[in-house]
Amino acid sequence: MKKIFYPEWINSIPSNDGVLEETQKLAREELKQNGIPKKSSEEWRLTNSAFIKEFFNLPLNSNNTKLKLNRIDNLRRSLVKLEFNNDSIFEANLCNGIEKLSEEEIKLCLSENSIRRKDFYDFNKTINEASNNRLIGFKINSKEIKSLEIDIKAEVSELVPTRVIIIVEEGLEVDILEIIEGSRGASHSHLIEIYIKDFSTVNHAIVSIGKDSAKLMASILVNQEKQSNYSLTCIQKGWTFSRLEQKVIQLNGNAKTNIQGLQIANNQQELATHSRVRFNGPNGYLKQIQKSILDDESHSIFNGMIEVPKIAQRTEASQLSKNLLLSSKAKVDTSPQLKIIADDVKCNHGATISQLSNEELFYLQSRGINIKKANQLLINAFCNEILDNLPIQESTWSLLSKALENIKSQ
Amino acid sequence: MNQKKLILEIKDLYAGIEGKDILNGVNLKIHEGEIHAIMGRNGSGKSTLSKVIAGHPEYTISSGEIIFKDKDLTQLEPEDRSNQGVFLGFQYPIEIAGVKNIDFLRVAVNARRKILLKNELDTFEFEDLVEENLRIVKMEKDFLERGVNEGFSGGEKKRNEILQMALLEPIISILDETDSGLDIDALRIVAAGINKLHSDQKATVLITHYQRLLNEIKPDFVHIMKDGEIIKTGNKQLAIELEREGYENFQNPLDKNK
Repeated sequence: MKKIFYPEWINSIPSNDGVLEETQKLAREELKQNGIPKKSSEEWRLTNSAFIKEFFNLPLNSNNTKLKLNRIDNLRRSLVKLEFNNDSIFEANLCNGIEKLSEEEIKLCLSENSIRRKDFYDFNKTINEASNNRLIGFKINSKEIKSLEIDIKAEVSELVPTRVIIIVEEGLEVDILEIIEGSRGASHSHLIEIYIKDFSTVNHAIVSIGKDSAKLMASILVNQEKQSNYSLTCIQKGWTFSRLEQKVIQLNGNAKTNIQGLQIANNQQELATHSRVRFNGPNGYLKQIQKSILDDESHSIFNGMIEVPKIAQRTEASQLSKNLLLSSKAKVDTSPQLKIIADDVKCNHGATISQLSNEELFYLQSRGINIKKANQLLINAFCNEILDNLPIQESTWSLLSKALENIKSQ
Repeated sequence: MNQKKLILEIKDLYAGIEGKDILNGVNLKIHEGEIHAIMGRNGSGKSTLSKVIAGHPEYTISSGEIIFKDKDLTQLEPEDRSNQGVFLGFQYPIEIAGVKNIDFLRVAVNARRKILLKNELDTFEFEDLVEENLRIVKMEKDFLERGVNEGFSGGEKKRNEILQMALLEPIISILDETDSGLDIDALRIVAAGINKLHSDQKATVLITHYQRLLNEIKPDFVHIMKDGEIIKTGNKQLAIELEREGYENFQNPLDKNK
């Protein structure tokens, strides 16, 4: 008989009787049947499953957490800020330019994105759908909304599931910044889905910072319509375990995607980025750069898949993974991959793993800069390639500046 | 007449890299106000000598001393040597992408100022100081905003070295093939900078292959290096002879001038 995983834990989670009911039921069934992903699956081969098991030992954060939307107008731009807290999700105080999705629209999004494939077990998403009772979904439909900030912070040893669905209507330009913080054993399960309609631009950044054994599992699902631009910058630092899954689909090609990632790890932290970009039409563009800085016995995983099917002629895609090892015991598993069927494409990928250069260090030292400061300058330089290109103005976002300072204080 | 103070004395220095001996007993005395030129073929040990003085960690000293202002340098870290006033102008200045030139210069200058008991400069004060010094090497301000030497031409890199020399106010500057890769105009700018920065209280050592730099900067002493030793010392005339006759005529170790 097949073993059913963690039934007590799963049965203990409060059930949703609203819009999430159906999805939740399906996800719980799937979780019971499949449990923790097996090492035999390519996607989970390198993951230390002990970290995953810990998710199933945590009580669920069951305060009916909601999103608070605050619109802050200043001279430069108006900023809409979202914070998950304790009111009901659908009572969020929305403002001009942001329209709450109706139950029907949410159901439609959920069903479109929840087609379950028999051959593919999306654990990150399943654990979120099984446990999540909080979701906010909205449309941005006015040029007035330029910036959106989503803060998710957890400070107790609980599982904190959050889910956001954003539809960006045609011809808009929006910055979306997510700050995810965790401490004292908090474990996040975060899911964000963004639909970008024709001729719209979305600059999306996720700055995620953990400490004191915090963990993070997050999925970013993005659908791009034609002539849209999407930039994603993901920063992971300090999580005992973190796994980001990014899936970007250019629905009809003819769109631009820029993806950057930075992992900063020490001790025995394991930070993973699994990225998949698919071009479902011609003339697509992708530039992706993924970096890691690893000290002590930390472990970085990067799995990057670019899919260029036959229909995606004249796709231009590049993917580069650059890793900096500060310790001989740190470990990098990087695997940039291209799956190309179309014949008229320009695609390249590569990976480098290096240490700080002795010649660069000597040059700095010979100018009176001590070795510690010289190390720091070179590490910062490695990060700056990503941080300088953050699609969002640092100065506008006090939280981001604070988070970046934290990153630079390696 | 007051005797000139000794700034740097190298005593019977033996050093090498990865078990290979390169310097085989170098002796050299440099006093304040002096300009020395060290000439020699590729592989004669000129660059090694400069790196050993600056403290490159890959070189090992097997015996000998490097005395700078009455202190032995050999046990000091490279940054401490620099902060004491030893400057090495690199033959191939390193490109460091992502570190802004101006940030690098400010950190370096403030480290040296600490030793000189001068106050630390903030961003604005430092910008003023840099702008003054940019004129010495005729550099544009936008160089400061780029990564250290990143994408600089050969000439720009060498000018950036002289800019660092100007800002750090070293007591002794050892310039390793600062003239290589420069066209005649750039050579004149760099040479004028070096002349301007030299003074009675300082010393300058030029490592070069060619006499042409010495037309622009007049050395008091010219040394010829071969197989890790200084085999002959003379004045400017020696460099002219060398240019005319080539290194072949200076092969005889009997010429060794100790």
